[in-house]
Amino acid sequence: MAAEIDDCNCINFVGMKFINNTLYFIPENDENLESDYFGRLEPKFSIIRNLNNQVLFMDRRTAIFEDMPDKDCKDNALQTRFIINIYKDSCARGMAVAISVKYGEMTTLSCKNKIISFKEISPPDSINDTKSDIIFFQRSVPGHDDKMQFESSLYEGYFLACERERDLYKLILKKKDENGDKSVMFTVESDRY
Amino acid sequence: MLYLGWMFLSLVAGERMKGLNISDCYTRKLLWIYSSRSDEEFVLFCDLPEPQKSHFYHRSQRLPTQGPEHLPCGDSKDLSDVQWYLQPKSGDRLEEITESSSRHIIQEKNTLSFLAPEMNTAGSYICRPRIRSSQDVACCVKTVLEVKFQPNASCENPALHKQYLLLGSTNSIYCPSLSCQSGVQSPEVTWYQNGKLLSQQRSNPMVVFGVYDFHQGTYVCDYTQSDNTSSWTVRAVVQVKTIVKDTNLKPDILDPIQDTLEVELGKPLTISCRARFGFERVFKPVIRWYIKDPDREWEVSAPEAKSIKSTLKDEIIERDIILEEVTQSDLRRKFVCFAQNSIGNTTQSIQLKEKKGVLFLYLLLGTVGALVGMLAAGALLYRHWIEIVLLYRTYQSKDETLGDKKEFDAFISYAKWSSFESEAASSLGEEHLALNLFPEVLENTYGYTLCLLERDVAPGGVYTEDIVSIIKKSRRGIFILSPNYINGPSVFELQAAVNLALADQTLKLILIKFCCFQEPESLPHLVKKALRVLPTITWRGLKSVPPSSRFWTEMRYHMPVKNSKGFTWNQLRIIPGVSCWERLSKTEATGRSSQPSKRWSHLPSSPRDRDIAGQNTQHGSG
Repeated sequence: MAAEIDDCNCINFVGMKFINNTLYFIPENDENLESDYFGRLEPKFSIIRNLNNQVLFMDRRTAIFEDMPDKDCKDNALQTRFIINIYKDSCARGMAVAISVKYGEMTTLSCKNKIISFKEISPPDSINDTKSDIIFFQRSVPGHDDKMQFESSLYEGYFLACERERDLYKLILKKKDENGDKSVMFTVESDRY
Repeated sequence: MLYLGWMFLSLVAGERMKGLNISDCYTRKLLWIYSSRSDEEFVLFCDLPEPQKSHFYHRSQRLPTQGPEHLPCGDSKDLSDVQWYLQPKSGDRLEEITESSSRHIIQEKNTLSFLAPEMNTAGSYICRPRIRSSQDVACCVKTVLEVKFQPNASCENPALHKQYLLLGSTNSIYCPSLSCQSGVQSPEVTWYQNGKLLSQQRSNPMVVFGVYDFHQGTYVCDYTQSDNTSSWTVRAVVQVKTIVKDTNLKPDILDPIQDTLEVELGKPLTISCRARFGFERVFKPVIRWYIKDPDREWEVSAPEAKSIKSTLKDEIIERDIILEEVTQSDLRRKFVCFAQNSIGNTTQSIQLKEKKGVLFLYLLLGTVGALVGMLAAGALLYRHWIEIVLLYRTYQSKDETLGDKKEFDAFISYAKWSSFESEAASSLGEEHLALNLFPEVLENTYGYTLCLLERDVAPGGVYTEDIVSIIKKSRRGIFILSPNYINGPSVFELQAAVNLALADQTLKLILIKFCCFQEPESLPHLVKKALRVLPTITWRGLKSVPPSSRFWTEMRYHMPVKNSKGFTWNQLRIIPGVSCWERLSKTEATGRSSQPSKRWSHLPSSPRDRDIAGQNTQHGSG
């Protein structure tokens, strides 16, 4: 059967602009057009652990994994309780999330320049772009529904991972090893408190 | 010329081949044991010795760390781009292995894959880098491949060459070539995954703790088998796939969801059924279309099912049913989509319905038509209400005039000519209407009894008393309204009649609008109200003169209902004279018969002066 052109999906152009050797077309704004964006939905409070069950917590603007008994986890709730903000994605690539934590001020995890840091901002309600340094795609590991991977929306193929650096286990952004990489897998536990 | 060219080419080629001294290559021996039961693959790796990492000096000498069998290869080239050659067992000539050499041999990077064992597979395979410098003559690997056919008679349950690992669990990969060994100790096994050596794994079977999706791939297990003369490496290849566990759910029909579908008769129709099946290792999905008649059910031959989407956990399969033309009998049938897997089955049936649009249109038209019809009927009825009532009256035998002890059917009141006024044309008309036309039509034609003050009342009585008594004796009061009437003394008659009508239910008043007039302010309140409320018939001059005009029809409508027999008799005027005399004898008020001949007059009457009592005007003979 031949493909039929759907009339509803056509866009009318009403103008042109020539900027920097590029010709831009201005579309007609008939409310059917939506810029690509991330739109914030309800946040979820969670505790993130790596596969060795070490808990992720924020310490002086860096993210560290440490073994922590439940009681300590609860006591340090402000540093261990991460807020997973789910975003609506205009091109569905998986569950888009921003990870933030409120210890003093609200800070959000950023992978800018492939370095993990905490930005002193609150996750915005809407981001007018398809890539962002604070947005990660949370997907489950195939066959292991309880384990999650976080891929950066800004750097494709780069995942949040736990890496040992001397005595510390730090949260970093790295390219996933094709031969099997368990350092990019985490468990996300909904916070009971 | 051509021959020379070919000679030259072969020389050059031979030169190149000759440059390859295969005796210097690192040689090893591989054994491929296959049974005819399943598709068995084989791989050869071109594991050229890896170039050393960073050096401070130029690498031209052999490093002591490398064993004597490992010949150095320069590090300036890409070791994944290699060229394979085959020296078949039979001949001496080296052949290059290219893409078109054989259907069963595929080269991927530095791996040579054999998809199936063949007759001429055995031989020596040499591999060396494609781009090389002259000093790397010895950079090559020679693999002597031996192929042996061994039907597995000694084993009931050998490991397969295709194995499945359950994701999330702990599973093992079994080396097929060792599975049937009944030896006491299993030898050391070298495992490779996708060409890479797994140095941690040494045993058979290879245990995978926590299966993940990256464990999927091509695994190679090697072990050494030595006999007296030489040692051979026995190699087997296993294709490993990571799967989830089998579903425990029945298939799910995603489409169609609704039970009915609107169609157009005579047009072709395609209904698509999509079902989602959970993962099963032994996957035998069934998706079919059935047609269900009231008495029987049969399967439809439909185009083949196709898989729309296949993921780790489930697969969506679609199958269409095509009807070339929707017929009336199709509307009575049910179309059933049936999906089944090893757990169970689900069905979804569809009923075809004709598009409501056509029916709706008919309904709409019908309703509109009915409404219009009703409106027209209503208008017609309203227009001819009077005629209908009259028609009804002629066929009913009710007579309201019986038993009410009244003498006259109607009393006519009109503007009398006053001596103070000059003769006006209108006054003439009014009087003529009252004294001539009314009696002629109502009495003669229709047989009513009228009472005219001048004619039927004996003179000499008090005017007001006479009026009141006449009105009391009449069933109806007819008042001819005009400016003269309203502004003159005769309006007293109207006033009296209104008062009497309020008391007497059987007295009804009829107003005749002779011509336009203005209501004076001095009129009594009651009269004003009466003028507004009472039934009014408009006199339209000459048009209303003939007895068949609308005026007279309306008059009859308001006149009392009489017995149809008498009516008809009167209308026929069989014995007009008799009726006249009869009536006259009944009148009380008139002591003496007053001008009977008047009834017969058709000529316009001259104005009479009421005050001149006893005056007997002679009219023309009737």
